[in-house]
Amino acid sequence: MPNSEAVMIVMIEDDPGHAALIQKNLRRAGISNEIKHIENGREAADYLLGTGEFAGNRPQAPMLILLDLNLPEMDGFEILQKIKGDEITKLIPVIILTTTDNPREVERCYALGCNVYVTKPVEYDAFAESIRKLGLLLAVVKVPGEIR
Amino acid sequence: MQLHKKLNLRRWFLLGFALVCIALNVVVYGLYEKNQEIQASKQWVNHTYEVIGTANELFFKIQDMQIALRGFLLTGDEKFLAPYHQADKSLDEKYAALATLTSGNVERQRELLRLKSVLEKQRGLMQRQIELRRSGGNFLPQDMKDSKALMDEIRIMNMYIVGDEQKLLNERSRRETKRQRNYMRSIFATAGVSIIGLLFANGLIGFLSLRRLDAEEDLRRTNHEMEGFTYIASHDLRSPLVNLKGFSTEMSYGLKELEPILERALEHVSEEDRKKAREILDVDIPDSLKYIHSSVEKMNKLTNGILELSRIGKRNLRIKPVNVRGIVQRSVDALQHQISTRNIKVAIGELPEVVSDSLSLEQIFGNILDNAIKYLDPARSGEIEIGGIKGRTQTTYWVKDNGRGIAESDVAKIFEIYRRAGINAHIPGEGLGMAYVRTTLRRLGGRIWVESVQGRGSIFYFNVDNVLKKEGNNNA
Repeated sequence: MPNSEAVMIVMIEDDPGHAALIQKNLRRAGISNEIKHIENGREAADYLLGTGEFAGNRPQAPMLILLDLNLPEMDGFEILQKIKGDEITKLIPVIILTTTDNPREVERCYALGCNVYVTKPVEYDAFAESIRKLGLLLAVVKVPGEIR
Repeated sequence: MQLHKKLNLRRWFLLGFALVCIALNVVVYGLYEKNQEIQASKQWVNHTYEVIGTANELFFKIQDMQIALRGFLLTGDEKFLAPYHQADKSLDEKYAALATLTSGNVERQRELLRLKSVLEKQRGLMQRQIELRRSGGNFLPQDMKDSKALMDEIRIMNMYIVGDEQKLLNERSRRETKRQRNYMRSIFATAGVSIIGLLFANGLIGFLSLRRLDAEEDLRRTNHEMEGFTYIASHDLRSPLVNLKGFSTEMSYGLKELEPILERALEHVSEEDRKKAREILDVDIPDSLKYIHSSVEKMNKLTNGILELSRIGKRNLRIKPVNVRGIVQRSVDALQHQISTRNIKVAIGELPEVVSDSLSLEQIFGNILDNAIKYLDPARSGEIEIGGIKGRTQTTYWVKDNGRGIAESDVAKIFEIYRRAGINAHIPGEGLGMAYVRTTLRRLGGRIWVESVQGRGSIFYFNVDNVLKKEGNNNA
């Protein structure tokens, strides 16, 4: 676990309430990694790919992405497509974390190359449980670029 | 704007079509008139030929008489006179015919009267010559001269009448030719107008069918948008619900953590304040949180319901022969626990097969049967009958129960989403089942209706296409 502490979690989520609840429950699960929260879809894509206002400034740290689907300016599908279409970012594990449980959208995300698809249940106990389990997964998962 | 333009276009089309129809009528009427004229003119031509013929015949008669007379005068043989008598007899007849034929021509009548007097003179002269010969006298050269002069006069008059009639005939023929030419022109005009009319009709039909296609396309688009809308609305409603539920729960967590701290602090305040604080902590806040929770719960169920309904339209139907009996048996088996504990009698009758979507039918029967059992009257032992009958294009199935029935005023309500009939607080349900059934049936080409008597029971009927068609480009 000591190594995974260096892994940054990039949370792309437009709803600040959801972001707060996710963060809270990840911390409860014992995740102490840095969590970078981005609310805007386009900004997130620019940040990850080093384009736009982040031109020439690609993040170097090993990372893991929590991605919502419904986002302003650029939706999650498009971001996913861009990340998985880029030689460098395609290695970053992407976890879709969204309210939709529509089978078609689940399929589409996996087709675009997402690594895990998790739904946010409305029922809070279930929600907290999902995030906790996700936290447990994050604690053991190996991310490329972690050990150089 | 677009619609307005279309309406205008349509008005022009209809106006044009009406004009073409009127023109066609006028032209056809003209054609009829022309035809009448030509018929009349043909009669006139025939009439003229008849006049000429009769006039010539009359002349030949008198000529015949003269020839016969000469033979008799030369030989004194009575047998030469046979043609004379014959012609003499029909002479008046021919004259009368000629007079009748030309009765409309005043000038001709006058000429004929003159001819008549000359004819009579000739006849008288001839008669005298015959009598003279018979009495043994010789014929007088003067008589011969007179007779020749009269004959010449008759010939000239005849030639004049025939010539004049010939002139009339030429005139009439010329007119008739002209009329016939006009007639042909009219026919071509009619054909032209008809073609224009057909083109118009064709355009109109094309235009109307185009509009129908437009309307269908609009409907399809609206339907599609509606589905998208319900899907997005119900889905996006979930997002704030997550927050409501999450933060209210977090609040109760916080409250729980706060409690021991406050407990210690409350020891240092007045009795009154302590009581007030306890009231807030133990009743007010937990109550508020409870209401938030239950409301969110309900809202979640509602949005899930809408989501589910919107998904019916998107599910792919698998059309194949469906063993309806097997489906009903499965649905009954799924409810077996309730059926046996409540001692319900279930009778499954004739259930015709259809070519349709098996899963949809299973859900329909499942929902209706579930309701039938749910709303049985606890006062009597339940009886449920299931049957069906195959029609020419559709099959009707029914589920009959002896339950509590539905009040007439509630019948329309039961098929609406979230609406439930009667006193039902103690009966679990979200008011989704029948709305689900109705929406599903629409895709199977059918509908559902109910006959019910309150306190006696209900019969739910629904029909589906015997052979469900593939939906093609219609995803409604």
